Amino acid sequence: MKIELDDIRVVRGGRTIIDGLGFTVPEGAFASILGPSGAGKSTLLGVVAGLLVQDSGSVRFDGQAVDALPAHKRGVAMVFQDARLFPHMSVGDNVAFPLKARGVAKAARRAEAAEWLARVQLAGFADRRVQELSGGQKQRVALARALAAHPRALLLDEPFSGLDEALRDAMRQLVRSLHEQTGVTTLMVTHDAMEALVMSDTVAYVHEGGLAQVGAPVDLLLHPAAPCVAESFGGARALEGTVRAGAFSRGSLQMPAPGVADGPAVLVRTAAGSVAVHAVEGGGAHAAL
Amino acid sequence: MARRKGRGASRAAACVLVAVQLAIVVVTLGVMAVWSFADAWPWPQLAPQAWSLRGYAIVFSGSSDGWPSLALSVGIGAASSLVATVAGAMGARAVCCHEWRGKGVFRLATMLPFLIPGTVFAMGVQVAFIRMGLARTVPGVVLAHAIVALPYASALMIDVVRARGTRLDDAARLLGAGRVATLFQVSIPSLAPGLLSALSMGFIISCSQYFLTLLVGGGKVRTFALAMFPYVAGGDRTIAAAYGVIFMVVTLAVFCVFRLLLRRLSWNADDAVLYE
Repeated sequence: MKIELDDIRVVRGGRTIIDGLGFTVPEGAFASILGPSGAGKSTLLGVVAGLLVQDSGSVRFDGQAVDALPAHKRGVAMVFQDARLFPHMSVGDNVAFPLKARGVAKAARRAEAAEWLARVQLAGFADRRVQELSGGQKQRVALARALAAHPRALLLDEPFSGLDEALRDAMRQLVRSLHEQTGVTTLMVTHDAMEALVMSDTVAYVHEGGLAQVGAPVDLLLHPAAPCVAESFGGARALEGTVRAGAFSRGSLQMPAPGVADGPAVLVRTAAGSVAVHAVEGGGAHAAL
Repeated sequence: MARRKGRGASRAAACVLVAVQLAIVVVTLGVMAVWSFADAWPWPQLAPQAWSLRGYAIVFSGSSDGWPSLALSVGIGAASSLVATVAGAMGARAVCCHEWRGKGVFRLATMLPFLIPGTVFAMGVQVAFIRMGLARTVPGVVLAHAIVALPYASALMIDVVRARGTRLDDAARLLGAGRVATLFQVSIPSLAPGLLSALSMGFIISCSQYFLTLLVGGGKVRTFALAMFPYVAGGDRTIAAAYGVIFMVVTLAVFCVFRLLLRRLSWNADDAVLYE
């Protein structure tokens, strides 16, 4: 489903939180809304979901305005930073909840819930209590539950920020591979620039309620349109990946690395903003970008 | 060494205080239980001189209204606690989850029955209910008890709703559940421990109303507390004590049922502690 945001404006308590912001998420894409905390990212996601009503502007799904549709009729599902599992239901009932809401028969929804749990590597967890799960497991259940709703679009609100770094990387890979399997249009809010880079097809950088830059991750990294975009990558950062046939890749991030031999490589961004790809082995061959 | 000594002393002091408090509660109730079986207990004897079941026989005989008044008390307690809890929960949602004009005034209003002396409040309620035709009726008494229980119910529910917010409701709606499904499948179950606490609190408050019931019910609505009072005032301690023991057993039984439900519905130890 294509998501179009057109001149969205949100004012709360006399303060303009989002100021005439618009961009498009193409059908089947993985898009990220990147920006510092307080930039209005989550507010924007709430507007897409229908949890918040914008003061002006329009949200369109596949060209149709959905501004008058309540949240439960928009056909989008959301994974929140705090998993928000229902504490009075088992893990299986949580995942089956959206199926129950659609009137799927009990046996069928149990079977499908078990299937989704297997796809997030939690096969056999259906009868567990939610309270027994670790943070990472909770977030995977939340992901399975959202996908069980067969959403037209999946919204992710900082889904990994409550997890520790090792877990976060595994979750990123899981989310990205599920995205590729299901092909569902995904819109993720994050404040982590590297996370947006390695997961997204499109990144929209939001700053103080406005759009600073929108484009492919490589463009934001190599050609930041505003100082705030460049600053979001922080000081010196390194990203491990691999080079194949003159191109560096890590997750969904692809960038040219002419002259660098195939094999493991590191993408380095210096504090000054220059970017280079270095081969890990083979005598320091590198490509400045 | 000195420190251990100090700790021992404070421990002893704590034990004494707990013992005094226990004695005040247990001895009082114990004396009442003994009185309910005593036929004659002249001063200064330490134990009753004669035992009998006269008190209980009179409470449950046809001539006294023990059974009907007990049933009425339980019914009024159940109805008024339900009204207060539903109103309290709805008010709590309005206060915690929405912004509107006059919110502060509303919060104060829910707490007013706390602040106003009971007698003054009862008289005001009586005058209003006479005008509305609710005086001397069971629904009138139910409503009056619900008003008294409301501050407790809303204070409890505001804490619980504030802790939970609308996080789970938002999650349910984004999974395709409509308003009704969200209310019954998510909002109410997730607030169940708080709702149960408010219900049991409302029930106990209703059972212990005497003056308000007398004034609003006009003596026509005879709850257990009303049926018991003549014996307390008239000096027949055996019958009064029998009434008291039965009353205590019934309210304790209701309380235990709620506690059991609460334990089953509390999803983890932290929640159970929060609502107890």
